[in-house]
Amino acid sequence: MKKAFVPGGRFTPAAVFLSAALGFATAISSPAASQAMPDINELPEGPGREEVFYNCYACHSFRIIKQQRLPESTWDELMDWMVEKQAMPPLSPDDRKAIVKYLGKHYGPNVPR
Amino acid sequence: MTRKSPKKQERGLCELYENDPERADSVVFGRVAENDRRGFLKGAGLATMGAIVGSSIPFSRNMPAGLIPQALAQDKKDFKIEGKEGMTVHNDRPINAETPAHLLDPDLTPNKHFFVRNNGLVPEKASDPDAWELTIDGEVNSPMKIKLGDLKRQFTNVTIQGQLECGGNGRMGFNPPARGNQWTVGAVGNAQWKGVRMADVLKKAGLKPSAVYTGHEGADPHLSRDPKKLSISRGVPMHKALDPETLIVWEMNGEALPLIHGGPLRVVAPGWPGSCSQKWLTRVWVRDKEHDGPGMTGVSYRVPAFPVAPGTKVANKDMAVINSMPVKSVITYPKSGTKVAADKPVMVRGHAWAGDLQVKEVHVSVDFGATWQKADLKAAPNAHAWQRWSAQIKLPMKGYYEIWARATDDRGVSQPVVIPGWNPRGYLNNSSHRISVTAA
Repeated sequence: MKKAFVPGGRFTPAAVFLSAALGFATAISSPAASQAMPDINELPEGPGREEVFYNCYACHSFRIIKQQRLPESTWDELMDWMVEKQAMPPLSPDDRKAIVKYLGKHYGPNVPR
Repeated sequence: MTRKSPKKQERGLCELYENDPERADSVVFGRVAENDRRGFLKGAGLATMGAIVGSSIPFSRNMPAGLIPQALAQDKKDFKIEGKEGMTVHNDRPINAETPAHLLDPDLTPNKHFFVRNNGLVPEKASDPDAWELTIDGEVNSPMKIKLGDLKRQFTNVTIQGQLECGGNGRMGFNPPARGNQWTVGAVGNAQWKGVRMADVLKKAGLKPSAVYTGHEGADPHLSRDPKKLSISRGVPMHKALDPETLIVWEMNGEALPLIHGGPLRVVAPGWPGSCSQKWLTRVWVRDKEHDGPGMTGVSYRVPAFPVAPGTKVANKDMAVINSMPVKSVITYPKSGTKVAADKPVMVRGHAWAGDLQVKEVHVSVDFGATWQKADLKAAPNAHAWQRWSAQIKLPMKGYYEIWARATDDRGVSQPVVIPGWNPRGYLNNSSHRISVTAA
């Protein structure tokens, strides 16, 4: 098992260079850069949580998900909308099924806000 | 980003990188290590990592496989929007935040309290704002590119007050719930804007008779980081584009237009859905038909052309684009939840607005709408600015009260006290604002 090049851990010259480059990139970028580190525990436990965590966070934070109360059918339509209009890479059928089921269950119309 | 984990173990990103960095790379960013141990990031994976660290990564080819981006490793703080205070944050990527009603009390909403609605990412700040370039093209005789510095010098500078409101303000009230940011009452604000009239700029370019609509484009990167995609591109019909209070602005409340509000250059088309007021403006494309950029078509910023039952599926052809926003008001003082004195006069105040129209009257009720009392209402300093209203109320005895406000426009149309007509995307909820107070 290989160790990650996390700050404070093992550094190679390339990693040091890269950290500097990233630090620079962050410093010149917009306020949008100051995002919180995502934590999977922001999402309720259950089947499909990992699929939601990795696929959705690629483009947007979880706050937009948690605000919604939509039936599975609408979540399913949203997957098409994200592929067609928002440049999301198409999900594998298994991932899509798991994601839509998870969202419909945890962020469905009858879940209290 | 198709991913199949060997064992269904759930864990956080840091832990994932700690245990198996190469797998983490592959699941999170679709990055596969090459023989030289450097990861090759491309396409969606590169876009994803760029989106997460908030910038493109110029040296991505050099990035060692399994390296957790430092921007992620370091930043574990709660999300805070630079230059903002006291906001209710609905989303942090893209950034969307509204203003609690009591912070809307000043006649001019301070920049630090003005709501933020973004569809994409915030672009990098322009190092030389006066060199920012705007293109005017399409159905004009002389297409032009003009720098912000020249815009300031060559056209009459105009300062107005104008209110902007998100088309989805109040979305939270609809049932069945509509998708999108669940705005309550505070996706609205009134600022002083300095700029030039869009009409003057369009006249300089020379409108052809075929000009019917504008299409606005901005520099905000799409969430996917695909440089060919626009985050949003809306526009207005020619009569609104030529309105003397539709401006191209570089100043907000006496300050250089803040980055988060579209600086250095944006459209302000006050009284219409905020999305007509394109931020980070780079182009006004004059169209010979209703503009069809992202956010103009389908069910976006549209409502059914006829009333529908809640939850109805409405065909795209039956959806009509929103123009002027409807009459509305907000109670900014006292703050909801405040204790007040029973049987003594209590000052209540707020603002009212009506899209392109004026507000004629505001009424308040302290008995759940059974009786209404007329409030004092000031004229707007100019059309499209919101209007101050105030009233003295008396709460007859100890107990819980709600204060409701209801504005009426100059065509006699009032705010409903219940949620108005349901629509698929949850726009135009202009129902009465209600606050609660306890009299003691």
